[in-house]
Amino acid sequence: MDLGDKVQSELTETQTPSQSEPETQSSQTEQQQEQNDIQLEKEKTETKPQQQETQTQEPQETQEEKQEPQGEKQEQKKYWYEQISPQEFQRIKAKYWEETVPVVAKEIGMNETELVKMMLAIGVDSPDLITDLRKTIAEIDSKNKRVTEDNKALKPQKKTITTSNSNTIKGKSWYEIADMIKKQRGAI
Amino acid sequence: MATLEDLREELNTIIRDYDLFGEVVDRMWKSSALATILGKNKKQVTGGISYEFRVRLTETDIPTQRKRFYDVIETSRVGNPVLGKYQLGIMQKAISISKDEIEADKGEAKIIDVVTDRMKEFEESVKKQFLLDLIYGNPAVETNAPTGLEVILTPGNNYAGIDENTYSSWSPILIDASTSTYAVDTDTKLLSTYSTTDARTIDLFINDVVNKASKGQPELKPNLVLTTGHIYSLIKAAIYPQVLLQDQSLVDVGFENVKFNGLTIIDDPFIPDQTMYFLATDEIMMLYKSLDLNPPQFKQEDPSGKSRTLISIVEIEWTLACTRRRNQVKVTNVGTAQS
Repeated sequence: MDLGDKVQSELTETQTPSQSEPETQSSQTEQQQEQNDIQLEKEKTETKPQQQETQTQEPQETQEEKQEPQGEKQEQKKYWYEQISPQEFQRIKAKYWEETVPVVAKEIGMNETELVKMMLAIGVDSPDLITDLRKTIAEIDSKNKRVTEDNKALKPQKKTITTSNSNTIKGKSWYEIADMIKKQRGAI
Repeated sequence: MATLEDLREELNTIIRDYDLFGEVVDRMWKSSALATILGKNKKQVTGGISYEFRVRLTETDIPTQRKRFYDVIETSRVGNPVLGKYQLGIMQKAISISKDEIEADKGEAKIIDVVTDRMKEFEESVKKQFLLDLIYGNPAVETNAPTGLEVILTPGNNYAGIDENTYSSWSPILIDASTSTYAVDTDTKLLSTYSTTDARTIDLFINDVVNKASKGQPELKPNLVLTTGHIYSLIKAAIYPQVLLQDQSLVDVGFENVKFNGLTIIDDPFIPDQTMYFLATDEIMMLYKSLDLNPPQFKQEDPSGKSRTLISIVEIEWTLACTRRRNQVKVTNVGTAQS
C-alpha cells in the first residue's frame, strides 16, 4: 500500500460510506481491497517493531483502519511525508485532521463531516493542500473579520457619540478633533 | 487597496458618527459678534421654505403721547393681523475629496486627516458666506439667497411682501449723516476726524438717532449699534477717557464690544463703509432649518464609476426675518471714506 492509499483510507473512514452504494462500486472496492491487503501484509512485516511501539494501546483499531476499502487510487506525490515512515505519518496525519478539521469547519461555519466530504470532492486530501486552503480561508476571514470588528466597534461608539459628540468636539480645533477621532477609532 | 466605495463608506461613517457637518454649522452661528447676537433670537422652522409671521406696525398719525397705547391695541386687538412673508435662503456648498488625495493604502488615519482638514476649509468658507449674507444677502439679486440686514434696512423695497405705501411704519429709518440738516457736527462730517470727534459729539449723535427711531418709547429703542472697524475705533477712542464698559449680557462669547449710552456697539468686517446700523435685535428673528437627520453623504461624482472623486453638497437654510422695521435705522456717510 502506498502512502496515497493510506491517506485515502483514512479520509474515507471519516466519510463513512453509505450502505446504499451501487453494487458496481462495491465490486470494484473488493478488488482493490485484495490488492491493498497484499500491500498491507508487506508493510506489516517491514514496520512491525515500530508499529508495536507507537500503537501499542490501540493495535486493533489501527488494523481496522488500514483494512478500510479504497475508493480510487491516488496519484503518488512527492511530499515531505514520504520521508517518514507510514506509521509515523499516519499518526501525525490523524492528529492533523483531528485538530484541523474542527478549526476549519468552525472558521467557515460548516459541519465537520460535510467539510471533509467537500474537501475530498475537490481533491484536497493532503496536509499541504489543506494548509493552502486554510491560508485562503484565513485571508478571506481576516478581511471579513476586519469589517466585522469595525462594525462591532462602531455600533457602541455610535450610541455614545451621538449623545456626547457635541460636548466632546465642541470648541476644539480640527487638529484636536482629528486626533480624537483617530484615537477613538483605533487608527493611531 | 481600498475601493472608492470603501472610502465612501468610511468617510460617511466618520462624518455621521461625529456629526462633523453639524459642528461646522454650530460654529457658523457664532462666527461673529453680530451672528451671536442675532443668534439669540433664533427660531427653528421645519417643512417648506416660506413662512408667515405677524408683523408689528404703528400708525404714524397717532399723537405721540398716546402712541404707546395705540401701538399695543393695533398689534394685538384691532383689525386683521398683517402677516409678513419670509422665505428661507439656501446656502449651498460642495465639498469634494478625490481618491488620490486620500491615498487609501495609508489607512484610516490618513482619511481622518483629510476629512478634518477639509472640514476646516469648509468651515472657513461657510462662515465667510454666512457673514456676508447676514449683511448683503438679497433674494432679489441672487436666487435663493437668504435675506440680510441691507434688505431689511433699505426703505421702499416692500420687504416681506408688505406695501410700505399702505403701511408707512413698515419703512425703516434711513439717515444721511453728511447732510447739514441732520449732522450733529455741522462743521465737519460726523466722526470725520479724531480731533473733532469727542464723547459729547458721539453721545449727542447716538441719542439723536435713537430718539428718531423710538420717539421716546423705551421698548422701541435699538439695543445694538453695528459699524465698521474704523468708526468703532473712533468711537472707542473718543469715549475711552469718559466711560468704557464691556457688555457681557449681549455679547458673551469673547467678541470685543463697547457699552455706551445703553447701547452695545460692535464692529463687523463686512458692513459697508461709512455706515452704522442701529438695530432692535428683539425684532429680528433668525429662521433656520436644522440639517437633515441624515447628514449629507459623500457620493461618487460620476455614478458610472469612472470618476475617482467623492462629492457632498451641503445645504444650510436660513434667513433673517424682521417683524418690526420702524425702529431699525441705517446711517450712511458717517465719517470719511476708507479705502
